[in-house]
Amino acid sequence: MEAGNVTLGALAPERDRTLVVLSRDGELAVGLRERLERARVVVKDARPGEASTAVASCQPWPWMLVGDLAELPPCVEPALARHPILVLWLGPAPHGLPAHGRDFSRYSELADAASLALEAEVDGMRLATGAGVALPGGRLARSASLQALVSAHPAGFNLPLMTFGAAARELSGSGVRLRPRRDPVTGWVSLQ
Amino acid sequence: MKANAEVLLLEDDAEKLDELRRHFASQGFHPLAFRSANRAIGALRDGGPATQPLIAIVDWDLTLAPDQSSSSSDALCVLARDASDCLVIVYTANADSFRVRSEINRAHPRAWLHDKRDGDASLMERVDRMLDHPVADLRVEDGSFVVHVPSQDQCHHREAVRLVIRHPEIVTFHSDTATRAVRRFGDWLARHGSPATVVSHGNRRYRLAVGGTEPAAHPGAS
Repeated sequence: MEAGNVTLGALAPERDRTLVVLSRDGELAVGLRERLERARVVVKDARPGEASTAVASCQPWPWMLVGDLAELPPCVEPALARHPILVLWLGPAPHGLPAHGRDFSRYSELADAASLALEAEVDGMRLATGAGVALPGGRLARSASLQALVSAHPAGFNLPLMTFGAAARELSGSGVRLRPRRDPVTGWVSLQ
Repeated sequence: MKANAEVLLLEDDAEKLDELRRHFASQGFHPLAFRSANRAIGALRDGGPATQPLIAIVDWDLTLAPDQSSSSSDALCVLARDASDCLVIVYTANADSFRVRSEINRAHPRAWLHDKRDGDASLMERVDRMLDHPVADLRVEDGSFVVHVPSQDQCHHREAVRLVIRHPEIVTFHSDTATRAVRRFGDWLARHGSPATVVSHGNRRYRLAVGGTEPAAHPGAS
C-alpha cells in the first residue's frame, strides 16, 4: 500500500461521501469513477489486502461498498455489521455480505443502482453535494446515517434502531414526516 | 494584498516544462516547476510556497526525469494526502488504458485526467477553461483574485479563488488562517448580495453553493 514512505491517496482519510471498491484489478472502480458525478462521491479503488485500511479511511464510514470478489475480506464484516453502509456486489454475493447487500450479474445494472442511490430524493430530501443531506428548506444535515437511509429508501438496514439516532435528531423539527423506524415484519430500519 | 497563486508543474521534458511555466506566468500564477517527482515532493513537504498550490499539473510519464527515485504516482499520493485542496490534473498518452486510469485513481482519487494525445495546447486550454468558468456572478481573474462581476469589486485571497475554481466540490482547508479567510469571503459575498454562499461542512470543509439550488449551512455548523 505504500511506495517508499508515501501512502496511496485512495487510503488517505476522507470526510466526503465515499464509495469503496474492492476488486483485484481496478476495472470496476474505473468504470464507477467515470460514471458517477465526482463532486458528489469520492471513489476509492482498493485491492483485497487494502480493504481494512480503505474502509477505515472513510470518516465516519463509507457511504457505499462495491466489490466483485468471490470472498468478502473478513476484516470488512465488523464495519458492515455496525454501520449503515450500502453494499452492491458484481457477481454472486459472497458469504458475510449483510442482508441488505444487493448482487448484480451485469456491471451496467450495478452502476445504475449506484447512480440511483446517489440521486435519491425522499420527501424533499436529497444527498447534498460532497456529503450530507439537503433537507427541505435548505438546511444541511450532516448525519451519515440519514444519508444512508435516503439512499436506501424504500429499503433499509438490518441494524439496531439506535444506530439511526443521529438521523432521527436531524429530522426532528425539519418538517420532514419520515423517521427511521423498524419494520415489524422484516425487522429492518428504514425511513417510514 | 494581491498574492499570485502557486501552480505546481511536474513535467520531465525541459522544453515542455518551460512552455507550461511561461503560460502560467502569463496568466498571473506563480509557477513552481519540477522535472522530477522527488523534487516536487520535497517542495510540497518543506513548508515553502509549494506547500499549498492552487493547481498541480502532473505528467504521468516521467521517463526523462533526471531523478527516478520517486514516481508521478508518489507525487500524486502526497498531493492527495497533504494538499487535498489543490486542483490536480494528470496528463498521459495512455489515458485509454484502464490500468493507467486505475493507478492514477489510486494515487489521487480526485485527480482530473487529460489525454496527452490531444496536444499540449489542449491541456492549457482546458486549465484556462476550468479557471475561467463563472460561478453565479463571480469569476476568477489572473488566477489570483475573485471578481464580483456586477460591482467589479475584487476579493484578493487565494482561498476564495480555491472555492470558486473547485465549485461545486467541498474543499478542505488546512489552517485557521485559511478558514478565517473563507468566512470573510462568505461575508464579502453576502455584502455584495451574491447568490453564491459559503457552506460549511465542518472540520474546515467548505464549498461554494449557488442560492436556490443548494443547501445553506446549518446554523450550528462550525
